[in-house]
Amino acid sequence: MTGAWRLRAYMAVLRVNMKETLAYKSDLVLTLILSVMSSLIYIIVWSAVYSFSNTSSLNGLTLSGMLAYFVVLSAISPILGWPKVVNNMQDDIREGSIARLLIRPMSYVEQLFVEAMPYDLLFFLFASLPIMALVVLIGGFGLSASTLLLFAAELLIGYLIINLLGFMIGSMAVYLTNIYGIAEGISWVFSIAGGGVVPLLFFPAEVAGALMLTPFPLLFYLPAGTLIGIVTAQQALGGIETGLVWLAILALAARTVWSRVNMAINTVGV
Amino acid sequence: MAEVIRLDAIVKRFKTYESETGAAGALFGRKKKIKTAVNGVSFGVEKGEIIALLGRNGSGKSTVIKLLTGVLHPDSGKISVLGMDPWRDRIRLARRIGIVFGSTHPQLFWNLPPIDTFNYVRDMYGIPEAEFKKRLDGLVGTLTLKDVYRRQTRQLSLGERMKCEFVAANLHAPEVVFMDEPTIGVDLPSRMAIAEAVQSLRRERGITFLITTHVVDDIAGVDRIILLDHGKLVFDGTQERMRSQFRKSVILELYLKLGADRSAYAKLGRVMTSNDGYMKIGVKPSVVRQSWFVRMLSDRNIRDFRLSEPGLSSMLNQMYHRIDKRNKKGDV
Repeated sequence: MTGAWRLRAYMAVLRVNMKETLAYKSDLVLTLILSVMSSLIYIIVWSAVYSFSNTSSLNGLTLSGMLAYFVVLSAISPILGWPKVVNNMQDDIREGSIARLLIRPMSYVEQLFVEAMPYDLLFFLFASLPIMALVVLIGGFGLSASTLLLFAAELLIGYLIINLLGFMIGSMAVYLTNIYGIAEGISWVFSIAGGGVVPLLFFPAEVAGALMLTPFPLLFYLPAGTLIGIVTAQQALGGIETGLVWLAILALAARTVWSRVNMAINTVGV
Repeated sequence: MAEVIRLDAIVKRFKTYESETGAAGALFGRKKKIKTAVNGVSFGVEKGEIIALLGRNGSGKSTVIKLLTGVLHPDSGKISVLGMDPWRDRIRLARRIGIVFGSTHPQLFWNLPPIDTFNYVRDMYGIPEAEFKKRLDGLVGTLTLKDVYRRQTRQLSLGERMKCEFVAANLHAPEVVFMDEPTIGVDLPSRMAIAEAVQSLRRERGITFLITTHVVDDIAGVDRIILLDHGKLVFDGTQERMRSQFRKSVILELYLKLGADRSAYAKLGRVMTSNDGYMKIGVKPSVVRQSWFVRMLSDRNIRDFRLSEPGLSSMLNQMYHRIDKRNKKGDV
């Protein structure tokens, strides 16, 4: 397939899936709102913690800083926290609908990723961006161009990493068919290790240092922390470098996994 | 004519799991089994042929379609479709074949009108706009979908959806079209419309069709029947050839007076149905030619009678009976 042809095919998949996502607009709006509402739990819990501890800052983080952290997380975690490819792959394999995609003149993996994009794109444009803008304005976080650039790079690398991880997790459905339980467990591990439950500032220094060598902080702590100023430019750059290494490793691993899964689909049948 | 499909000694096995009954059985009693879905199947299809691939549920028909479309890879044997290995050249082959998976794996986007799926096909296959419009108008006209294809797919009837599935599979002008049970649960007018569209596409563009079905009406216009049973090919030939195998009997239907003694008529051949007032018997043609048989038909107990050749469904049913008998003897 030539580059132009491939691009046209990508656009075809993207366009039709965008239309499907927008088919029920009121449901979509409610989903977007409810996704963000989850941060209320963290706001209530941390407000109580600060109130009972009679202190204005914990580990150098004020209550307003902590609340800003979790509101930003609620704006990015529906995209970076858990990818659509996991459920899509599981459904494709369990219900046999993978055959529908395998008969198209485009690779299954490409279709899988492009199909997942419209919801993420809509969420980012209509939920993530306005919420993050509000947090920055209300919280008075002065953002330089370089901070925004680092934040954008973290988001992009994080998005690619979580989708590659999701692809490998989704591949397990070929062997296990139903992976909801496993996927739920793994998502919690990612969240805890990435600073999605408690910022990495609250972990012992050795543990936080070790976790910074994993890809998970790029999914939660690094982008949210960069935006509200608790992650330094140096830390952000280090995270991006680590993320790029992980991206290369995961891309290679995903390729190997797919070659095995592709054959395994044949032995299980669709 | 050129051969567009060739299968040589294809074998395909699947891992399946069987569980014992009860909760404990489901937890600990799972046994792995290997199921041979396709067992040494060989056949060829020439350009422009319309083939019906028949067989009971689980006979391997859908697996053959998936092997031919590159969705599955054979364990052994060779497959060639339009000169390509379907599994290795799947993406290249996809541009030249069309597939209708019936209602099991629909290609139409459920929450959008079919026109969005058609436009998606146009962009995915790079069909020029003018050509796309011409093909779409042609197919929509043949299948009477003018008032249908702009309505949301989920609001359409099964017949309308299947006709739209057929359009989606043919818009990119494929050379070979595979249809896996396209008419299950579909109403008669829609089935007839799809059958007409198949014939017209073969006539106008020389498209080859391979259709799996359980609906006997779908077989009426096909050139050849391929029958699978337990993954093996048990018949490959024309309808005429199949019919010739069943010329050994004709169907005699007797409409009797109520309460008439049926025992004498039962000796005429193989009784297929026997109710008070009605009998259906498979009779040897040599019996029909006997003068006593003709005299018997004027018996005062017989109100009316009908002699006919066995229909396609009757022939298929008899074939399945024969296969089962042979299987019991251990011949197959």
